[in-house]
Amino acid sequence: MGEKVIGIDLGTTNSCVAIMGEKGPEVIENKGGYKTTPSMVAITETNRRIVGHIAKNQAVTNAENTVYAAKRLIGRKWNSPQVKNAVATSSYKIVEGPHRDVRIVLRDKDYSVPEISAMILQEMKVIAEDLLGEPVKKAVITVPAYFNDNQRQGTKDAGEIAGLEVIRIINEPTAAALSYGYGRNVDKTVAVYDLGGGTFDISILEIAENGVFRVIATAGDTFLGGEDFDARIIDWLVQGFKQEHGLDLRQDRMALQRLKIAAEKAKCELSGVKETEVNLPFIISRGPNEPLHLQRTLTRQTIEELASDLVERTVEICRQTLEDAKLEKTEVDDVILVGGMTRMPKVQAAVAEFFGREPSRGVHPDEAVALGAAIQGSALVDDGKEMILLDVTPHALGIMTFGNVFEELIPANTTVPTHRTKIFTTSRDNQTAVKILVMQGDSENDDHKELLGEFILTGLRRAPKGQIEIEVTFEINADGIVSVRAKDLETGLEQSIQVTATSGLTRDEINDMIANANDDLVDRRASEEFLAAKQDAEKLIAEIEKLFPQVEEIVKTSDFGRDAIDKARGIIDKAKAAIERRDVPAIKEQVDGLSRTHRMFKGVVQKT
Amino acid sequence: MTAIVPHLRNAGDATQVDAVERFVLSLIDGTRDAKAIGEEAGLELAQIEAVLIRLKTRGIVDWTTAAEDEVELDDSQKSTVLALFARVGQASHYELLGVPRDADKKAVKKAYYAVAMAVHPDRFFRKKLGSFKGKMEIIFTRLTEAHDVLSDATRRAEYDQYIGNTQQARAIEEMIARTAEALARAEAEVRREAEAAAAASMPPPAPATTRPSGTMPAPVTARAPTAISVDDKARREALAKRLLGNRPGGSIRPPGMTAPPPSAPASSAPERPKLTTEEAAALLRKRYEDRFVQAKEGQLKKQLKLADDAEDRSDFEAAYTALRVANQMVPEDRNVAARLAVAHQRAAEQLSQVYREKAIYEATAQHWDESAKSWRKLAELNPNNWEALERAADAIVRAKGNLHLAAELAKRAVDLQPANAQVYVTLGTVYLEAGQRTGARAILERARALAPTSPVVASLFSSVQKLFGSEPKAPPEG
Repeated sequence: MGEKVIGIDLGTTNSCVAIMGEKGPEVIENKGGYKTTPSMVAITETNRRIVGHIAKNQAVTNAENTVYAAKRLIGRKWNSPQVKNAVATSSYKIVEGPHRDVRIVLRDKDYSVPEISAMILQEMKVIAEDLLGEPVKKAVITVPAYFNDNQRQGTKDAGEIAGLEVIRIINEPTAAALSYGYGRNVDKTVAVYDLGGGTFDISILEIAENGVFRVIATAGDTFLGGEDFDARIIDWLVQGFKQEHGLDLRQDRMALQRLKIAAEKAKCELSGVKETEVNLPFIISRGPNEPLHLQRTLTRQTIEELASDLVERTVEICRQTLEDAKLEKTEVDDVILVGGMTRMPKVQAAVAEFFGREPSRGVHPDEAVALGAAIQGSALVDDGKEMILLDVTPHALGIMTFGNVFEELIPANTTVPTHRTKIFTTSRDNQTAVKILVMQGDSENDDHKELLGEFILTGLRRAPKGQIEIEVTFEINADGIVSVRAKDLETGLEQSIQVTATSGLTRDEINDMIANANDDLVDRRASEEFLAAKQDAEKLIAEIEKLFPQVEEIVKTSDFGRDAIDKARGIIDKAKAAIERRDVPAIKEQVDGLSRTHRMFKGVVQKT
Repeated sequence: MTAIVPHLRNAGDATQVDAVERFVLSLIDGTRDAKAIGEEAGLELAQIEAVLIRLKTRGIVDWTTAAEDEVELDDSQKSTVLALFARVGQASHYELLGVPRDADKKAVKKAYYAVAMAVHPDRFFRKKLGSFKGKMEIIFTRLTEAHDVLSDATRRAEYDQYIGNTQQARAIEEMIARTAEALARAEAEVRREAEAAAAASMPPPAPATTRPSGTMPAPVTARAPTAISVDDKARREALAKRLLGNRPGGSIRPPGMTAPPPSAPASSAPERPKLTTEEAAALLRKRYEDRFVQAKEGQLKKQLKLADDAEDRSDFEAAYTALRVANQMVPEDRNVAARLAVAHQRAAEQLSQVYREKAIYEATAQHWDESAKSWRKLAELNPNNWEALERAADAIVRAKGNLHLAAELAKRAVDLQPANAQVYVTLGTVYLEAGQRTGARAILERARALAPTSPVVASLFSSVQKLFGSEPKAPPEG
């Protein structure tokens, strides 16, 4: 058995961690006994980082300092429309970073998005370590299939900041298919419909009996998920409230946060019941003495109407993907639903209608992705596992040529590893250098291409345009690393780069963040110890102080007794000071003294 | 110390190697290092290295250095990868996947998955793979291409067409090579038949049909239907007996042009006039010549029938071959000559078409080596096809091939098209590539004279001029 590799599903709203156990992959529960942990991070009034359920629980009262759905921002540029949208609708503050990237301001401190994600990953790591009782170093982390290189890199950076070696980033629907096909020995073509909190993915895979999982086509929308359904409900509530009271709830961050939670809750309830009540008393005040309440009934039919275009969009992407895969609906043997949003009856019905079959209930929509990541992790490090995953590159790769024409070298849905070569010529007379702009197709916008990297090939012979031939080779290796080579066919001169996608952070920044995250982890561990020591000490102090009047009465005539009391007071003061300083060793030292004093006091009282 | 571990390169042209080089090549298996090859060959390391460097500059071998190549694979895994890697360039998609030509989608997929499982780098994630990682990725890419092409009906049809072209061309080449052979065989057949017939058909014309071994399966020629297969020797003995009056124990000579005069005392031959030896010889010669003509006619008919059948099948190469044989037999026959001319034309057209398509496909795929070969074959077939010559020269330059040959071809194109600037451009490019600035300038001057307004010519010319101007200091510009 190789070393332990955890699989982490880093979700938009919830995250999940799994590991390969003796009997197969298992999800690891957090301390609260939950299998998933909210992907929420907050900074408290006392500047402490809190993650998960506790962060979610205090979200209403600390809305400005609680981050949710950070995944929607990872690897994105400040000026992208998605970020603009998030700036407008988030209850926390988003600002521009130093590299046209995005920063989140929490209690006057800027955090990069990978740093926020790292806090969640660190939490998942600790959950695994608590169960295993040993440190975990390696992880496979999942991302939406339609994430681009920068978003993937951002996720990888987050893993590194959290102290994890990310041995592979894999696609969420692919991971779900792994957990569906693991140990089943099936030979099937499956469609994975993954509608999560923030993203939508559809992947068509082939699962072969001999352990090959081959992705045929994949597509998606990285800004379409449960959050959008919530937003529709919030809009509906806000508008209704405005019509009734003429007040805009969006102006109040706390109200917005309450609406958000209520909307999500209502949405989830409506998967089970036909109607539900949204009840938010004292949501806002018109004047000093006029509190207003929000109370409305939301029906399943209403929510289905509100979100019908969202569901329709996912079906349209399914249609396109089947076309890309050159498959008929009838050739799909099974449809797997993943992601919390697939609990919505309307979504299930739409998928069933489109594929002409009832979706499989074979995998758990919240856990399948993390399980798949754990499966892939163990397949990579365990040589005995006869399993390979043949995934595709979701976006086309190519170079930008003269006149801003994108010349594709590797089309979307190409199985990796792969390499492709094309020959280009100079576009100007006497051109002695060419700039190779490595571009990636954009998921949301066909016309827009993302710049992945650039380099210059120099030393070309001066010649009329079109005469110097340059051979450009693109390569994606098994680890998903893209490298590009340009060669002057005349001189044989060659230039190449390994495309290191940027999450918006520099190497130095990442290193700093790794150091900070480590400090925080030490602090966090220490604080648990502190709390324990503090409790011990405070309990003893309280008991001693309860005994003081009795003891004083008994020993007031003896000098020795006075000394003992002064000494006891001294110990209590020292202990209190140590608690004040959060000095754990000192507290522990005083706890010894306190318990001695306590025993002595009890002895004195009992004797008389 | 870094040891050189050479391996054969697919693109290499190993046709022009000397004996030592060939010997060294035969010892390269992708695992032996230079030292081991030296020990095996009984040559000094320095010698081996010199040979290897020569071969490397010609693109025949390449190597990685062992020190930097730490590979944690066992020998059988290594040899699996190397064997596949060596075939990546040449093997067809079918061969690479190890499936028959008629394999269905499912079989293709199964084969793809099986090979992928053996060579995918993820299967060896924790192992150091060194140079093998890249090899595996290249193999995997090729396997994927093979799978993708063969699983897509349209792409597979295109690919089959390409393979078909390649095979057709090869078959035609073989057939042409066989023409001379067929001719010789037909002649031999005629001769033997004539001999045999002349010998066997004394007064009553004997039905002697021989079936010499090794002839092409062909329709039986219109000959005597009462063919009885008689042993050659027995027939000759009978002939000799009859001719020589049943001379007992007479030594049998092969029925040559002249039989040596028998000197035995003639025994009584009651019903037959006695022949002198001269008469017997003359008679034999006459019979032989008659039968020769007859056999030749038979062969001619056979070849013409072959030609007819081939033409019916639109197999102009086969028709051409048969007609060429026929034409050799009856050079004076105008009808046959005319048919031959037509067949030649058609065969050349057919083959040219195949070569042209092949050359263009290969050029599109940037297999310049192959493309150059196909253009050259087209040029061989059509010595006056200047385009083939010019394209061949161009492809050779792109393939970094033999520039002398390229120049020769381009010159021939120039001879054919002395007023076409294009051919001068190609020749000029060859000269430029070969570093012959003076020659390049002269040629391009002529191109400029022909096409004074062409930007291509002008630019090429100016770059030659610059080559002169910038010499000897190289122009380093950023």
